[in-house]
Amino acid sequence: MALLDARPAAPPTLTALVAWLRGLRLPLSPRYLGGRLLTGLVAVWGAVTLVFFALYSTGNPALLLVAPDAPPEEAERLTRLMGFDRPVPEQYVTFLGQVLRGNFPDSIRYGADPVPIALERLGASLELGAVGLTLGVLVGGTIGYLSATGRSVWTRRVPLSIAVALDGIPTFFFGILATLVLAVWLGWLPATGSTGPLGLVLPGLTLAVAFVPAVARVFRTALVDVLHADHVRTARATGIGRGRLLRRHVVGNSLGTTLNVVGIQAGVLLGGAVVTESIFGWPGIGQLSINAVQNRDYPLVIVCVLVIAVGFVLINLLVDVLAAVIEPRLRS
Amino acid sequence: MTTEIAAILVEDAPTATHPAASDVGLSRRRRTLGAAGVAGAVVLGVVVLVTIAAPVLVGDPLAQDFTAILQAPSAAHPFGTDELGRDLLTRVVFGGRSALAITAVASLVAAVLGLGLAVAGALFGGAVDAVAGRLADVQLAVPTIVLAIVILSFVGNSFVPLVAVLVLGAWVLTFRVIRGHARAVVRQPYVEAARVAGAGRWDVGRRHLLPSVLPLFFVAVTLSASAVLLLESSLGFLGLGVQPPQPDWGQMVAAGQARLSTAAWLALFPGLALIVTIVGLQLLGDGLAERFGTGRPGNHGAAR
Repeated sequence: MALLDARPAAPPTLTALVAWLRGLRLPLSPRYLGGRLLTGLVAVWGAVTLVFFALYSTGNPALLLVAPDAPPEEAERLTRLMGFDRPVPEQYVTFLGQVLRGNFPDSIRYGADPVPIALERLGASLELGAVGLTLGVLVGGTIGYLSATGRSVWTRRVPLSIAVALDGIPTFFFGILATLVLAVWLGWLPATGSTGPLGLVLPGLTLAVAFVPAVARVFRTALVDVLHADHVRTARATGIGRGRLLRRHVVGNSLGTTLNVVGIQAGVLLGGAVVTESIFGWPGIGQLSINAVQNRDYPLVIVCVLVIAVGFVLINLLVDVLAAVIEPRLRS
Repeated sequence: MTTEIAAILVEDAPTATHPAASDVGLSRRRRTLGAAGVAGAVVLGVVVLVTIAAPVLVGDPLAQDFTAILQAPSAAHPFGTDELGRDLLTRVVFGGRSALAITAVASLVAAVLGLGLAVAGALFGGAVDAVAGRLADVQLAVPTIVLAIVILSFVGNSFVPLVAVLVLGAWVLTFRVIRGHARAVVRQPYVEAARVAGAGRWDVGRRHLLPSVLPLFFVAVTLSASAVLLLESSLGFLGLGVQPPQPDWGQMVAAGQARLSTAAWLALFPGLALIVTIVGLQLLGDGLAERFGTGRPGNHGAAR
């Protein structure tokens, strides 16, 4: 707000308004933000289109979208509502319109509008995602930091090697191994179905492990790159202490690129979330979508997929903006 | 203290600032795969051979024996038996067939697709390159898991849709790795010289571009195969992949999860087989990357 207050109030003419808007110092250029937003919208549109053509390829989508025991009139009503009896391009436009209005056929299993059902599960997913992300960034960041700046083989090589080895373990199998060791054999933690704080440990850990290797590797590379930068050489020439050098000149400058790559890893986080929720019976949107597939609850599948796709785009957008705020060189 | 930092700088220099060699001409300093790479190749070779020879080595993966239900690993059944008395070793060996066949086909198709688009973009430039690049952006912006859920639940999870999902999830990896290199190569003076001497696009592609990107291609195929296998097994685990009673590693782990406290071997052995294969692929890929001096391409965006 301070930035806005420093400017004179907007004069009434349009050109002056544009000039005034141009004078605002945003952390990001509207062009950058617009470009990112556009890519995100294209991605969501791509997901909707994919759903449409997948539906279309099954022959009669209306038969798929109503309960198997529903009267034939129900399928006919749906056919007219979604325009499945029209030519394909018109069907496509109708479908886009219905999606935009949030108009979906009732969930077959729950017999109700699938949109609130899916949105209701978002909270649990976000909770698990926050825990997993925090754990993953902390552990991955620490390993990356140690491997770039450590003083002995034990800190430089060993943690990174462990992280890289984790890359070879599928998320679902790590979750099962962790359950086996920590819950079944040692009995320290509840296995599945618990939503208390202890019940968060295993799913959170499993989700975190999915992207610890990537965070560690990228942060390490970024740190090492910055250690080669001219300003670090200059800082060293002034006789600055090692810890102070790393804190003041190296770590901050490595965060932007790291965050950017972590954003690309959002897909891994999301895939990991679907798998993790399925392993531990976590009542999030990932588990809901897999259950919907198993129950052949196609309206719910569509809604889940769209919610996940929009969530993914939003995460990417948020990370891009954050990265650009931290690291001006990424703004172009 | 400064010497410590200096030591860091010296030790990390080659990996950190990838010298021009990795941008354009691939350096040939090391001519071997390295111990880890050879180990990866051996492990992978054994896994592939055992899987191919499965019908000769072990019995029928679907044969049930109700007198031997849920037996712990023993001499008769080294990996134990499942709730239908089926021998787990047999099922693990056969489970590798579907996993490896799907992985091999999908990663090859994905790599060839990525290679083709990258090389075409570099040769024809302009619109072709822009369209291919935009396609890759959109592909990265649609999470693979969403693709998988949509395609596999609506179209069905037979071989072709499964491979299609994996190809869509993996082609960007090869594309991005090769694109950067190919674009650098076509700007090289010797390519320009060839052009001036009258070489057409096909000549440049065949004589200069392809031989130059081929090492990178092998690295990308191997590493994308490990990403594809991860994804394939995750889909199997979620019930979206190969369907029972046909065994598949991911699906077998999911089936074993319910009996984790009483019969842990049901989930452990297929999972271990999976890890051994994935690690073998990664070691081989890293070894090839070192051998050709290409550096390790990251596997961004692949769901697991």
